Amino acid sequence: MTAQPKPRTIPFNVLCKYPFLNESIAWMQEKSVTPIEALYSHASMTDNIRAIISDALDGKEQTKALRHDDEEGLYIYPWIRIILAFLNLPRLTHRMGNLLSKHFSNLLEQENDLTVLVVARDQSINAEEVPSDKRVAINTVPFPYRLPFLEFLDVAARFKSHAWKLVNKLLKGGYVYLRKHDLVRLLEEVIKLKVIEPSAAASDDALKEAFSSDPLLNPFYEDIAANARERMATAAGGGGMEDLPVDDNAFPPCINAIVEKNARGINLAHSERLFLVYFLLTIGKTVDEVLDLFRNQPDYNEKITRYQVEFAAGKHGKQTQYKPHNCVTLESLGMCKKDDPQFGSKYCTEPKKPFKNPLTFYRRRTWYRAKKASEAASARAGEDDEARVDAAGAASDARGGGNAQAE
Amino acid sequence: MHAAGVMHKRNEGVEPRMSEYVRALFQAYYRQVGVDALVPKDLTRREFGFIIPGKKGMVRHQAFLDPKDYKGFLVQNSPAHAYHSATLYNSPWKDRMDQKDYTGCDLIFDIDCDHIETPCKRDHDTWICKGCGGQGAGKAPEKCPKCGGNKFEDRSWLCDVCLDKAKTETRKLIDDFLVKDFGLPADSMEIYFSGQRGYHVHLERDAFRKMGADARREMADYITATGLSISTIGFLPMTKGIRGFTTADPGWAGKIARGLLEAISGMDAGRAISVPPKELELLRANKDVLKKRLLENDINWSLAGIGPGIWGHIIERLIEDLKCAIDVPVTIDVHRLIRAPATLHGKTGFVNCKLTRQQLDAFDPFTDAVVFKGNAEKIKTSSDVPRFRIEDRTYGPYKKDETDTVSIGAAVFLLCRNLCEVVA
Repeated sequence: MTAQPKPRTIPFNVLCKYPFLNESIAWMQEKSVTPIEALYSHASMTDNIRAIISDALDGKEQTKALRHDDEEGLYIYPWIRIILAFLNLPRLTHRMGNLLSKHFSNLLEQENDLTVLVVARDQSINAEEVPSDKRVAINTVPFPYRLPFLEFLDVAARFKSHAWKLVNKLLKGGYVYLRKHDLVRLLEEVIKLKVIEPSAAASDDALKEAFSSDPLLNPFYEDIAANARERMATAAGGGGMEDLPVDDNAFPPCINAIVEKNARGINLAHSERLFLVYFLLTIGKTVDEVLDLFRNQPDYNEKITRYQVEFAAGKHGKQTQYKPHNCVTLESLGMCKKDDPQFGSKYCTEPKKPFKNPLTFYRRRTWYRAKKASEAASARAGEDDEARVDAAGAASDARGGGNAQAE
Repeated sequence: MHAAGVMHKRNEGVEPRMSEYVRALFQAYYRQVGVDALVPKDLTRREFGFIIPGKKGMVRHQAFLDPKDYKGFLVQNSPAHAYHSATLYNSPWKDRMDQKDYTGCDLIFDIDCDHIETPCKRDHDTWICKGCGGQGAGKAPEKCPKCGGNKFEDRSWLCDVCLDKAKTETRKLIDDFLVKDFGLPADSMEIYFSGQRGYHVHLERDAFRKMGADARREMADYITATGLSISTIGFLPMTKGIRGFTTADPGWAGKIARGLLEAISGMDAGRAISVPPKELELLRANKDVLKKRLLENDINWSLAGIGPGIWGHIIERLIEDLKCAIDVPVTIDVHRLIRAPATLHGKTGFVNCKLTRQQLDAFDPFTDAVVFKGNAEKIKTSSDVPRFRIEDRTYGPYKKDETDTVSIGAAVFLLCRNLCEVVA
């Protein structure tokens, strides 16, 4: 007896438009088409995959190469994830996460309420329409959806923006009240996480073997791989991503955490970017040095970033030179890492004198390290002097006299 | 891992003192108490830690498969303090945290009167400078006024005012936040009197146990109003006037509006409102207009003489009153030890009591948490002792070397704090 396919609850055109949906994936599984068969049966798919990867490498937030009206739109999504898994370039994966999540969120913004709810529920965001007797509007803006607060926190606790903190949300009776735009933003984050999560293809040796031995697909993959590796190397400033020109020896834990996140190509939150720029400029980094660091970001755009960094440096606008956030602000933003097992420091948790700003941490550490280096240099110089005296004595002895000093 | 409700560092490498008198009473208590009262949910998946008289530091990484073994351990060792992990592990007995295999952690809220400012602290708390021996009342200063030293021995005390304030905060946590805002039924929470300075509220449903540190922090920030931005929640100074909140608004917006309505309504009844005198006068002058608007859910908060800056001050003070004084690190930390139910507190002799929300209202820690009752004992104080109450009798204040006949509960209370000896 064969298992009956589950009845579909989402229209086929919606499945094609949003291929990350669980129901879209179930549809493909029911078809029992192998990935390679799918690739051969859609003539334009390889060109479109190439174009989407190129858009991700360019840091774009929209792509024209994703089709939304037929099966290709469905099959191309798993193929993008398979190729990302084979390439194993974390920064490209994050850029792809950024591109696809922004692309789909733009589409969702234009959908009717029902479609947004259907997509949300498929992604385990169990939002519901607010019953008519419990409708909420703030300053005439309606909040037509509500979500159990634990589900809200599952996604939104990662956001760093003040506006997304639970304390600034409409919470009542266990539900967070949301606008349509809020719901789409939550979905955007879920999509991003889906794209960047490790794909099973990475450990599918049979697929790898079939793919690499295919006479047409192998050159296609090698071409994409060579291009992606070259572009990523250029984006990292010619060196490996771990070789960023950042001296992190005296940085406070909060900065180290952001620098490390950036080195891995993970999209930094707005507040993290601002804090990093203000901090680096204040300690004396040049605009170009700060810009080099941001080249690692998935949405890096030289022109926009330069303007923003120069603005922070006081070269535009009111020419204000901004200072980095205080520790209390960082704490409420969830950016304080003093107790973090990886980045935390006893100089934050048990300082000899309390301090309010991470700059103080940096200045104290810089001073301390300079002092230690100077002491070490003096000690070495002393040893060298002794060595020189010994050498002079030895030379004198060698010359056969004990009167080297008299000479 | 930290232990909530104990100065953990103080115990490191120091053998806790406990008189034989108290130890025998503790042992007698553990013998007669029922196993069911002692055993926390999911006993086998929790790590236990004990402070045992005569043993240095905390005895960690203990685990029990059988409730009877746990009770047997308590009877045999009569610990001064008994804790279990809020965390559940597959291998709680392993002595390295990374080998215990974390599976989840209860969500814990800790309200400790140590973290709540009460005026009586100036009367009963004292400090001693470890550098010069200088003493003072209230909270220890940053620097010793005599020698400039910054190390002090804090001698905090317990009184009805402090514990009442802790209870008020616990009720606020449960009623205003967990029930009203987070939508949790009151009977889904485990409420405990800690045995000394405050209360713990445990949420033990699977959904809470699975919460990550970020989500726990967000809940704690909501309750403590950390990161609250009144402009983000809709307070808008505009050219035409000021847009405020309505009492029906969800979240902090409605909380502030309801707090304001309660505050100005309280003015009629002569109740104090904690805003500076200047702002208070302006509110008083406008209270009837404002009350009418709040009752009609009118968001127009434009009032004569009260501009955005003054509103900012007023709202700031309201938030101070409305937020709840939980100990945030306890809520966020997923590797915390928490005092075990129905165990005795080695600094008071009081029992850790499980309460329902209804029982909390009438709960009197100085009576209901006292285990050892009756039997008058003659004691001699070994230090000055502030006034205190056990059951319906008030004792002290005593000077050093004073003698008195006190109830056994009062004797245990003083003995646990090394402030007296029992005179034969």
